[in-house]
Amino acid sequence: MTFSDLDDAFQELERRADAAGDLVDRPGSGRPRRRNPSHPIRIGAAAAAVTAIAVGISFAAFGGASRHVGGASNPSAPSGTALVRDSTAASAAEPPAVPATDVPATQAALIARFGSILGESATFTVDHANSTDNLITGVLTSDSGTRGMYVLELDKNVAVCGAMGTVGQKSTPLPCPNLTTLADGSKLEVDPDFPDGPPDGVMNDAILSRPDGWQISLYTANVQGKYYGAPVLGKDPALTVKEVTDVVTSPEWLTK
Amino acid sequence: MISAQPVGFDDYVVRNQRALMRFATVLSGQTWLADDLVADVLGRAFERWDRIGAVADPHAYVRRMIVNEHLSWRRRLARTTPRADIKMSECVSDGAHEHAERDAMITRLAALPRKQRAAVVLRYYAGMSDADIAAELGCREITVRSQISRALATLRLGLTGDAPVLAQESR
Repeated sequence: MTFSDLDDAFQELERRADAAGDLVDRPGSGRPRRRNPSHPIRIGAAAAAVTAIAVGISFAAFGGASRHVGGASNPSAPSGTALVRDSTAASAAEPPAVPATDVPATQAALIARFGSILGESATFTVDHANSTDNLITGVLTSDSGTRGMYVLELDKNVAVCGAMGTVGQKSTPLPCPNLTTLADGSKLEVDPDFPDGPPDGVMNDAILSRPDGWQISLYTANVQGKYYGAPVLGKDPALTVKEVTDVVTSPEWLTK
Repeated sequence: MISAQPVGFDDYVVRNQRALMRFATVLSGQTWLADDLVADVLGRAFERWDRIGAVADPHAYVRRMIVNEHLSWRRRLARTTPRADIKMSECVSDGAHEHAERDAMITRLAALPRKQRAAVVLRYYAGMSDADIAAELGCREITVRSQISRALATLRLGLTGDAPVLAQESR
C-alpha cells in the first residue's frame, strides 16, 4: 500500500459521491431533496427533506396558541404519568394542540437554556472547540461533586428508535424496549448503551423526539471527554437517568 | 469573524453541495450515509443561515458541522441499534487488478475507528494542518498525530512510503 492508494481511494469515493448524485437543490425549498428511492433513510423522517421547513413554520405559527397539557404539570415523569397512546385511537381522535419546541438560536442561548434548566443542581463547562449552535459538550459537575462529560444536542427530523427501513418498502418494526410515548405525543428514549465507551464507562442519556420533529438529547457519562479513550472520572455520570430525563422533558424547551 | 458580504443559502448550496457530498462520502465511506449527513446538516444550517452565512468562512463551518454530525453520539447510537433493511454497502472489487489495492484501501478506511478516519480525511483529503484538525476534533495536536499514525499503520501506509497526495475536496 502506498499513499497513492489512499489518494485513489479518495478519488473513488468522490466518484461514488458524484454517481449517487441524488442531492438536488430545489429552488425555494431551502434544502436538498433525495431522489434515490432505494437508499435507506429513516422512515420517520422520510418526508422531512421537503416538508421540514414548512412544518417548522406551521408549528411556530400555531404552537404558541395553547399550552402542553399532559407533560406540563409533571414533565419529568417519563412513564408514570405518561400515557402510552394507542395509535388507532389517536388517529381517529382530534390531535392535541402541542406547543412547538422553543429552539435556542445560538450556542450562547443554548448554553443559557441548559443552565436555566439545571438550576442549582449542577454546573457545567463548555468545550467550545467541539460545540456548535445545536450541540454543546463539556464536563458537568453535580451539586454533590460528581463529574462527567455531557453532550446536549438539538436536532430536527432525525431517527426515532424502532422506525427505520428502506423507502418504498414496508418498514420492519424493530424492538425498542426503552421507548415511551408521552401524553403530548413525544417519544422518550432512554438508552443505556455506551457505544465506544471504556470498560468502566457508564452513560445516562435521554432522547426526546417531539411532535414537531425536534429532538432534544442529553448524554452524560462518567468520563472526561466525548471520545473513546477519555479518562474515567468516577463511578457514575454527574446526572442520573431521572435527572437527564428531567432536562430533556423540561417545559423550558416549549414555546410560551 | 463576520464576513463583509453574507453568502445566501441557495448560492452556498449551489456552489458547495457537490464538494460537501464528496467530503461526507470520503468521511463516512457510504454515499447513502453521506447523503443523510449532508441533508441533515444543510437542513439545520438553513434554519440558522442568517448567522452561518455571515461568518468569514461558511463552508468551513458547515464542514465542521458534518464532522460533528458524523462523530455525534446519536449517530453512533443509531449504528449500535440493530436495523432492518440497512446494509452497509460492500466495497466490491470490479475485478481489475489495478483496482484491487484501491478497493482494499477503501475497506481499510471503512474499518478505521471514526475519529482516526476523520483525522486521516481532514489531513490527507482536506489538506488541513494538525493544528486545524485538532481544533476541528476538539483534541490536542499530539492526539491528532497519534490518531493519524495509528490509522496509517492500520491502512498499511508506512511513513516512509510515497509522499502523500493532498487531495482537495473542491476539485
